[in-house]
Amino acid sequence: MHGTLNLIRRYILCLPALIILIFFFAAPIFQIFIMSFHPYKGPMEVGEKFTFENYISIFTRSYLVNCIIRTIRIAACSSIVAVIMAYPLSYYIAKATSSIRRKILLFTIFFCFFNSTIGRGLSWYLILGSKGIINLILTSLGMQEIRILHSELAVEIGLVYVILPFAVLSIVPSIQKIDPSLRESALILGANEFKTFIHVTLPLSLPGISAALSTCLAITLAAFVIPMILGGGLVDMLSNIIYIRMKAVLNFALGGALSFVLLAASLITMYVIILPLRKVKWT
Amino acid sequence: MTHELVAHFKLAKKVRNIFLELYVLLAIFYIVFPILLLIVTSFDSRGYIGDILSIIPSLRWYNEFIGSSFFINGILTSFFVGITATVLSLIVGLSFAYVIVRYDFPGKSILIETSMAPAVVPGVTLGFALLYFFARLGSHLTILNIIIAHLIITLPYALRTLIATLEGFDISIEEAALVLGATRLRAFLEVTLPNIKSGIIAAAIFSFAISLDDVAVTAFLTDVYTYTFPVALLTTFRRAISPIAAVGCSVLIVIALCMVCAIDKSYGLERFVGIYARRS
Repeated sequence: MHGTLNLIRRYILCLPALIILIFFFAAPIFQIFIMSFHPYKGPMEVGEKFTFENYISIFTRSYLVNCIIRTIRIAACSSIVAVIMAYPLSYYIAKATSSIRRKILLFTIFFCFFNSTIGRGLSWYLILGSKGIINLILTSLGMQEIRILHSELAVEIGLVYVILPFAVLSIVPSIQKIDPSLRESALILGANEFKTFIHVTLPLSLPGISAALSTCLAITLAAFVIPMILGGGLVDMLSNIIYIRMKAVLNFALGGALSFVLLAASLITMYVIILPLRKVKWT
Repeated sequence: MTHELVAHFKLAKKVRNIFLELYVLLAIFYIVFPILLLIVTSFDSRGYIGDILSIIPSLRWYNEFIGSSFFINGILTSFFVGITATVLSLIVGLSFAYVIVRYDFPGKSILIETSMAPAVVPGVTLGFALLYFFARLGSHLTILNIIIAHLIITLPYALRTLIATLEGFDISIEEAALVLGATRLRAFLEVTLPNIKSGIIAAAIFSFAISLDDVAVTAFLTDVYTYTFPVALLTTFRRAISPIAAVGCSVLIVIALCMVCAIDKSYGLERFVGIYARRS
């Protein structure tokens, strides 16, 4: 009797969070999931009939297909670049002997982490713009101005800057966990620094790398602010299309379907591609 | 081991370290330079974003910013929403995290996964869903809708920090209080709570930061009178970008700096790395 009472008490303490999540998170998402299988019938209205036409129309409209491909391409490129850039920094944080320089790096990374996304976008707008730093350097060297802003490259550069701290922080623990004696034994057995890194350190930090990759992909696939600022309407990603096209006409049928394509893309990268690679658990 | 080999190790290590140090220096520059550039631009007095070398320094746009009810209104709303959502997140999150850390029961891992889900769902998907949900519900009080949305998006981050903190707390202290006759609630309030204060502060800052930065969810829920600061900033981007946007972003930079210092002071950045990595 006492046992059941305790069990009930445990569930009750979980209840507030659970109710909020079910009512304001799961239910609304489930609702538009259902709507995405019904035909569009005007703002906020859908027809009765069950249909796949919304999903079919996404994959038959070339601008939407292009947008999906572009979103995946931008996300993949920027995530891979960010993880490569992040790795040495994570290594430094995990292994550095100088505590002051390490602290400065850690502080800088967290500063970037807490900086607003809009601010980060605007910063790169100032660097890449027609009167930006890059063009200033080019013209002072007597070269021609280049247009980077409002291109895919600009969006990727901005996104790399946004996700770099996420990548660094995801990799650090996996490197910290590596037993230093493994590296030493490889060195003693005659492997050079490079070989040791490739055959010992890198494979052992793979869980961190895949965690970083999945975090970065999840963020970049859903990117909204950066393509808006640095793409200037010319490099819209899926989030931008949903916001611009679907909010204006309140088309919850097609918009819902698009939202689910986006959600599916995120979930697939999170759980199908990445999860088997890592052994990190929530608790 | 021969001396030659040892010397070889040392040299290789030295070369590696020099490259690493250089790279770190470069990375710090890469992160800080864009931020400094933004701050410098915010002091420009011209009415457009021009080249950085011919800047005419003044506080013109700071004055305009302070005098603009549009931005001030946004900042006040953002703080109100952020603080309210954070407090709610902490209350709801703490009771949840407490049970998760202290007890084992059927369905626990599913509960954890569910609570982390809002961090995985794209902001636009959630925003779009909530737009429909609130409209159907007939909930037209914009500020309340935004607070609920922010409660949802901050909860996973608050929870993650709180769970990690509670895991690090020595349970035997609480048990001692129980043995000495304190009720469970009193033991929690008077023994556990003061001991995990730093974790709660870190969780609060983390949630507030997430709330303050959100655009994707909030953009669906604002109206002409009630909007958050980042949404206000973003609307100015649709027209030509003026230095007043740089002023707004500089304000956010100062806030970010304060948040990092506060986490460092109360919780330690070191420990915070571990918490962050938990999400992944």
